[in-house]
Amino acid sequence: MDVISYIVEPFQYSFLVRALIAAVIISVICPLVGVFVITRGYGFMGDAMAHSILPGMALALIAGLSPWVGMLPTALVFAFLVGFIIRKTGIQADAAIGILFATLFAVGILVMSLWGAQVTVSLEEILLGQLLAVTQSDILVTLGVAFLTLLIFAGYFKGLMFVSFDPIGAEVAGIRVERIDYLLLGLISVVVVVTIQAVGVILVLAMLIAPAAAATLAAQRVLPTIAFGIVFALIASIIGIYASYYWNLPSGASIALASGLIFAIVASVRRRIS
Amino acid sequence: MSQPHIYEPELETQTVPLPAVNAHCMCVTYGQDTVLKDLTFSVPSGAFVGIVGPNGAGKSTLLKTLVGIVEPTEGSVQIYGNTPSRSRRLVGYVPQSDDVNWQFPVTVWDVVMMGRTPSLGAFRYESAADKQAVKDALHRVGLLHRKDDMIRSLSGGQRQRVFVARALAQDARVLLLDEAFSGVDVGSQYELVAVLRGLCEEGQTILLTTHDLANTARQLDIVLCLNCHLCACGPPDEVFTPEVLKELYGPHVVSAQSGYTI
Repeated sequence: MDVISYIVEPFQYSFLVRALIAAVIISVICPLVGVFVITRGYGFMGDAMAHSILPGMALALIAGLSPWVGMLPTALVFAFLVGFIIRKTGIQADAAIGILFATLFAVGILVMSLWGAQVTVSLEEILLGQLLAVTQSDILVTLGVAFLTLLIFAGYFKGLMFVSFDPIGAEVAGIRVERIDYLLLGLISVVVVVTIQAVGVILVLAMLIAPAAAATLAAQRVLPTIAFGIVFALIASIIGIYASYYWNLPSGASIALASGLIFAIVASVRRRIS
Repeated sequence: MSQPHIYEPELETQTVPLPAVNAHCMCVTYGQDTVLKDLTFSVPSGAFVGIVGPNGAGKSTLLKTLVGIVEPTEGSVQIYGNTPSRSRRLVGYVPQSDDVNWQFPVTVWDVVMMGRTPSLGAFRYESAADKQAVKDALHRVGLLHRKDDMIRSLSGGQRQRVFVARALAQDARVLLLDEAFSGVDVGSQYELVAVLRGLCEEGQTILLTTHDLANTARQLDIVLCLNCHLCACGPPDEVFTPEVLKELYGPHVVSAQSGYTI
């Protein structure tokens, strides 16, 4: 088999084409948000949020609805509560996130154990990700979220930069810091939710954090960092999809592994240079 | 009779310049705690002013009041005749080093451009005029040659100068520096003071909080000695008396401080 057919072969299957499209969209939005997530110290947040949407997801499945219907509002509530608790009590962000993580995940488990006997399989799929089972409507939702994310970034990029670098200076300069912070938290939530669809709850960090973290080692300014992050995420997605096709591996795990390896390579190359 | 008597009052109102900062019986309370009590002072345009006092004396609160984040509970404060929240553009703020996220990937140029951000608004990107303002501001603080460097690669004193440039790019006329010299070595302190002094001569008004009574405070035009209320206000040679120092820092400091005054 020659190289070209080796490359093209998987895409005679429409489910793999859909998987690739979803992975590409996610590879664009995750590093975009991810660069702010890691430089703001919200790294733990993505993982916590992914787990905290369990009650919403479980309720939606029990009610026979699409998991989106439960996941999106729960993630937004989580993001809002994190911001609210930090502002009102003054405790550290990771403590606020930890409290909500445990509480909401526990609620999810309770909901499942009380009413969820018939939805276990579906929940398991969502925990592990189902990139290869992505439907056309999933792609449309992902595309919509990506469009919204890009639009908000284009509009508030300058303010977001100012607030992330120097929140007090930004407030003094008359920027609505609170609004921009909640906007960022809201964006993180929707991006986490659409990413879960592709790589699963546990592997969200693989797309949100690892490519962006590798990018901060490779570039110096915000926009080039985001660009590098997107490139790393795309490489990880493509490697993951091929690995999953040719070696029959779970797609989410393959992408996460590729993403971790890319980080390791970038980190070691940079160490050798500097 | 070259000047008819009748014009005098009008001439007088035109020539008396507005003070850069004017506080009148200003009080700030947080709940039950009075943080600033009955502050009355005036800072002329172009003055180089230091705010000194012990920790918890209300120095940062005073700065927050001047930038309009905190409102006076009683009395009033004005920046060139307007309330601080109405004259935000006129006031540039240099934050304490601890309040800045140094991990964030930005260059010197990016930081100074932030001074233009509030005037840009959503979906607006910088114009040639914005770029020129950033260039001019960096030139004035002597850091144009470092414009492409990461902010975190600069020394403490240079970082402060970048933030001063940001305030200049904003077209601020009153610059506020919170703990301007913490983490800045002595050599860079002199450089920073020289830059600030030069800006005052060009008409900028500068207020900074500092703990350094020995060196910096003595190079200022006016020192506000703050310990909840205003203990003294005037040129450093006049205000740093044993009585005032005792009121500020307690009796132990006076003997140590007197060493510096010689």
